[in-house]
Amino acid sequence: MLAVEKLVKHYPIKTGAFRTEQVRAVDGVSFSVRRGETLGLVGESGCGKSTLGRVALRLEPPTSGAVRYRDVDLTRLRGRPLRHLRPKLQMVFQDPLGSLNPRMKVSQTVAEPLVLHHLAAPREIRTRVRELFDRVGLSDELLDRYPHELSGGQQQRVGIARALAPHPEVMVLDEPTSALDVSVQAKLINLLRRLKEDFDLTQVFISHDLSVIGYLTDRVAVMYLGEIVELGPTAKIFLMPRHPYTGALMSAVPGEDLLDRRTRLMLPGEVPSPINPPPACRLAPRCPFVKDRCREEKQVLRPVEPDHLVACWRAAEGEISPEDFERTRLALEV
Amino acid sequence: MALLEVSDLRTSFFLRGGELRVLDGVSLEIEAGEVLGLVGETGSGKSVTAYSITRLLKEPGRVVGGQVMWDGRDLVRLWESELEQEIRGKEISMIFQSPREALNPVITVGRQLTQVLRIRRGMSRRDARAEAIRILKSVYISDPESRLDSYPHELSGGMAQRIMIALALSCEPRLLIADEPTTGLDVTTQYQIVLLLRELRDRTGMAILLITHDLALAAQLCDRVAVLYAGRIAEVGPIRHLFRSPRHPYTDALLASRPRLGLQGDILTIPGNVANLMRPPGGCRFHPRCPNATEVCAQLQPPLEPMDPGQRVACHNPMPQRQELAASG
Ligand SMILES: Nc1ncnc2c1ncn2[C@@H]1O[C@H](COP(=O)(O)OP(=O)(O)OP(=O)(O)O)[C@@H](O)[C@H]1O
Ligand SMILES: Nc1ncnc2c1ncn2[C@@H]1O[C@H](COP(=O)(O)OP(=O)(O)OP(=O)(O)O)[C@@H](O)[C@H]1O
Ligand code: SF4
Ligand code: SF4
Ligand SMILES: [Mg+2]
Ligand SMILES: [Mg+2]
Repeated sequence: MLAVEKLVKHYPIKTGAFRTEQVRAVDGVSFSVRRGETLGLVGESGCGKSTLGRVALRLEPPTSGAVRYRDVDLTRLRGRPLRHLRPKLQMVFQDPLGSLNPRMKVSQTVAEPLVLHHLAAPREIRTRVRELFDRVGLSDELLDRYPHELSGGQQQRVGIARALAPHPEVMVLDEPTSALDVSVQAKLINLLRRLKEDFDLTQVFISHDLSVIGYLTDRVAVMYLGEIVELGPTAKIFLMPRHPYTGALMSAVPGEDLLDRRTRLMLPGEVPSPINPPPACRLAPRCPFVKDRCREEKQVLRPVEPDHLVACWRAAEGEISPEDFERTRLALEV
Repeated sequence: MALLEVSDLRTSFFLRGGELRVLDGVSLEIEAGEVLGLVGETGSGKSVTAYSITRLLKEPGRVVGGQVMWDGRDLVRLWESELEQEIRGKEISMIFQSPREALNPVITVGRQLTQVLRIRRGMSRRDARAEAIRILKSVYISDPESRLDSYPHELSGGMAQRIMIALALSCEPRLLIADEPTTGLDVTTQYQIVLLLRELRDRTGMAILLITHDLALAAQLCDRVAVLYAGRIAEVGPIRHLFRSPRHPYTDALLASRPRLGLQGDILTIPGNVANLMRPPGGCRFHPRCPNATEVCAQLQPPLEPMDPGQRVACHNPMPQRQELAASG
């Protein structure tokens, strides 16, 4: 349904009076999502998830690489043909307040895509908007408010209602539930699951909330500094993580007992800058399992199982395993 | 005496359609060095509580009753100039829920940080720049020198968030009000922030009012938790008691709606919608959605009363105490 190939997005930034350098926000990423599949996208803050989401829906042009939707290369489309596809490809933005027009009532914001793409007769629009409000659990009394008159979670659901309005086929949801309490979140997640089951909605779900990712997604892609470092079925990523970065990430998944304040597997040091990423394996400066080869050889995704890919030679060649991650974590506990 | 004591706080928004009673008698207290979590449904009034305490409410919102005692002074009645000069951003610091709103989009991050440092801490331009770099490092931002010249939209969501945290902590406040401080942060960065906040609390005795939806985060940081439902406290007490043996049916339902890996079928949710604050249900505001509701619930507002194993609960028909769990805690 949606496939990105060797996608690259660099942003130029000024680093001195006469110098510009490139922020390598997304640096050679490939994956595909099947119809009706939900792909989770997780990773360190600033690793390029939102950028990848925006470029994959062609809201921004890539620096290089291709994005295929059905059989069309979106990166080659411009103007009318692209606008024509817009309603089918929807994004829910990470910053709800920033993505809503402050001068429009929220009902107008939700109606806008319907009006713009002539998807509903003028008489029906109000009813459709009410339906959408209801689906995302917003009460009617909020219809005529402006974005700043809503709570954070209410704003976020307006963004979701707007994206659902034109019946999209592909949705990229960027942290769509970060401002919701777990019970309202549960309703939305149930809704997204139903849309997937009933209408084969294809979703890319970006979130830092690993509990939601674990529940909702079929497969997970783990990003680190602009690259995908691991890709596989959700259960395998959670229970048998192979890449050391994934290992650290998963040690933070809250267990059944929330009050268990156990030590997590922390990678030492800071995330390097995407302006000058480490040349070979990007995790090398922080990885507890680093060897010389890691600093010399660029890491590419390799299968550890047919459906499970990892960009770490030591994991791919069976030198390190999930037990090693647990041992390293326990060593930190003392 | 508690560091901050909020009693019977009432805040309303005066809208075209009438008065929206968002806070209907909220009472809280925070001791020095204590972390109090404030959780609850979206729209229940958590952010409004924070804005009411610091008096940053925007029109048409107004505190219409109650007290906010800080160091023997009632912040509700303090002169605005005193509040601004002596308290806000010095003794009480706040992290806002929407980081981008709090950062000015047309000014570089560096200028915003140094401005605050120069005004609030009287630093020279050069010292302020050095301090700004140190602060960015303290919240794990790589390449702080060049990040100072970035505009807010050039940062990832998580970076903007961390800069807000850095800014709020730069004055070493006695109370930090943090409204969803780690949403949008990955779990690793989140954990670093948790460690940073714990360290500050231990070193400086800073108290924290932590507003969050993230129950796992609350479990990592809080000593006590208050659960807000439709502008009233439903349950408050030590986090172990609330999480292991919730007595209010809303707390119970909230804890049950956590998604989990491998869970089959729909997640449990609370039936019905968030209470309409323009026409709130009489009696207990949770009664239209409550599995334990009886006739009295629609008529009488339940008072907050002490209950085993050690929390205060506003409910006529509380959930039974979970013995085995309470004992192990
Ligand atoms: N318009 C832009 N100009 C310059 N740099 C940018 C721009 N947008 C993003 N970046 C940079 O690209 C990198 C990736 O940002 P992105 O927002 O995609 O991260 P993210 O993974 O979504 O992070 P988060 O989890 O914090 O939202 C960051 O270093 C960010 O500063
Ligand atoms: N400026 C405003 N005008 C009208 N109503 C408002 C305004 N600001 C907030 N409200 C209302 O007050 C109620 C409480 O809002 P508040 O932002 O405190 O909720 P919250 O508990 O922080 O929710 P969230 O978890 O979604 O951030 C909401 O119902 C909201 O719609
Ligand atoms: S390639 Fe080396 S440095 Fe990179 S993750 Fe694997 S072991 Fe660590
Ligand atoms: S007072 Fe009644 S309606 Fe309210 S929470 Fe308790 S049982 Fe439910
Ligand atoms: Mg993002
Ligand atoms: Mg809020």
